[in-house]
Amino acid sequence: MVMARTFRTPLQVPVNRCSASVLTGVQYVSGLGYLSRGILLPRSPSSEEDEGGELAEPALVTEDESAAVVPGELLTCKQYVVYSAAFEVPAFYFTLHESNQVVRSALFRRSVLPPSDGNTFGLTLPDSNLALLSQGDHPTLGTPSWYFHPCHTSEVVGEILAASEGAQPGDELLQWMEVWFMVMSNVVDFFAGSNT
Amino acid sequence: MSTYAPRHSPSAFSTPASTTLFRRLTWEGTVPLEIRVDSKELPANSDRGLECYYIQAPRVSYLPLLVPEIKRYLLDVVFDEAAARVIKEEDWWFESEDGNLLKWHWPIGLIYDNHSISQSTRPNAVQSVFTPLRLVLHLVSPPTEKLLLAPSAEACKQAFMGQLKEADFIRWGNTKRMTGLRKAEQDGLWEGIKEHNFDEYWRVASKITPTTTPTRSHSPPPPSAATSLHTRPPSADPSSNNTPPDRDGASSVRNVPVRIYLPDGPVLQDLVPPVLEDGPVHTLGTFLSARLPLLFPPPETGKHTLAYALLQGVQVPPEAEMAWLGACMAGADGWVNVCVGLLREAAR
Repeated sequence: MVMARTFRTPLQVPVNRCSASVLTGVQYVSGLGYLSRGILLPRSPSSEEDEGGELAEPALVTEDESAAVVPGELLTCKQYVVYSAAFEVPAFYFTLHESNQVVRSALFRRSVLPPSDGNTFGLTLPDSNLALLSQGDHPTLGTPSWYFHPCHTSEVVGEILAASEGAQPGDELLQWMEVWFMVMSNVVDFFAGSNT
Repeated sequence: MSTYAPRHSPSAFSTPASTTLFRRLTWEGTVPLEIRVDSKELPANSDRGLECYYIQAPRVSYLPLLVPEIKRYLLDVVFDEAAARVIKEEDWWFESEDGNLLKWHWPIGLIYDNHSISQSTRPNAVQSVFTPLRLVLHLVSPPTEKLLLAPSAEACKQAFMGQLKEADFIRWGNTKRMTGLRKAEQDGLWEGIKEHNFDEYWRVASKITPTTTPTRSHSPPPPSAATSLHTRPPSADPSSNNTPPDRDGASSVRNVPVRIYLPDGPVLQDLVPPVLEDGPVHTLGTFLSARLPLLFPPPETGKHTLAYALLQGVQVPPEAEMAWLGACMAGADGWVNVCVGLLREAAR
């Protein structure tokens, strides 16, 4: 298990190593220990709403469901990779202007998120009590955010690392972060949207 | 110790009387609130002059749980029928007197203590003990970018359960104790908060909260299904250890769920093991000196302490053990919320 304090330094390493080609517009906010960026996201095109009516999302849609989705309208999304002191791993936090648009934006790969269970506070996997997507205070800023519950991501990352070649000495944490981004990108489309 | 006896569900009676006493005191703690509707938002024809509601609110409760009571009062006394038809509870939000937005997902006791420590930094603040916390209730236009969505009782419950799970994880490294509870039991925890019923809450909470145990002369009974998850380190065996046995359970957690609140400042969270690496029991004094050495200088430096620590509204002495605080004085959500305020001399 990686010790708490050592994680804060490697958050800076991917920023230095991954140049503009990979993750655009990422800043490391020094002294506060988290990665952050702001992007503009398109709303999902309205045709995706009518997928046979399967995805029932009563809790996370706008109150006025009859309002037409305006194509081309952009949402401001702030994204953070923050260290979770409770789970001792990084967690993905984000805010969306008009936060009740979470599921409709292009941020997520739609096939992955389960239908909402009617709870406006978070999304839960149907057979689990643990919320997949929750709301909470940003650990450093204290502002309200959505975040992905981090406890399962570390198990998945651990399994992938166990099955792969070892990292170069000194690069273990960087490799951990790279795998973490890979796991998260199964749910989050990090390339969606454009820089603000 | 019957907490671990097979086929018996743990009850408050099997816990040492002192532990139950402190848990009861924590549970029964209340704070005075004065809730005043923003006068600019009072509907027309309201009975002005009466729009203040006073309540002695439980520390372990939450603002959304007070809303029904406040609404009943306002409908009875202040609003007329036309107003009653248009008010929407889901748009209600609270602000402190000095304009700070209040987080509805914080326990009321924490909101109160956090306010107390902010006051401790004001140069002109009079340090009185139990002034009501004056809140302004807004009826419309919640600032959604600064508030978590939907301050309904259901969302409040989800936030509460989330905090319990996080605390569970910090204590034991997994959330099996929480997820091992039946749904009815999990709901029972929240019902206990809603109804403010100590026994209903602790009937379930005693399964997941570490406890302190009295001296035993016999070896521990064989673990039942419910307790097989409580791995007890060898040093917890009362016949062989040299730590006093009444800290079993509480001191076998990995870490104690603790947060530090600074006046108007950030919330700090870090690992708080019950016993330090070089052996001594982790006390509040050691903990604060390590995290905030300028406010709580270690005794050997000879400097004066500049601040104090509030937990459940009580100034906790530095000798208090973190593990004990986690077992006896944590909030209902499992967290030890230490609010740090400045001592009067330092505030000048």
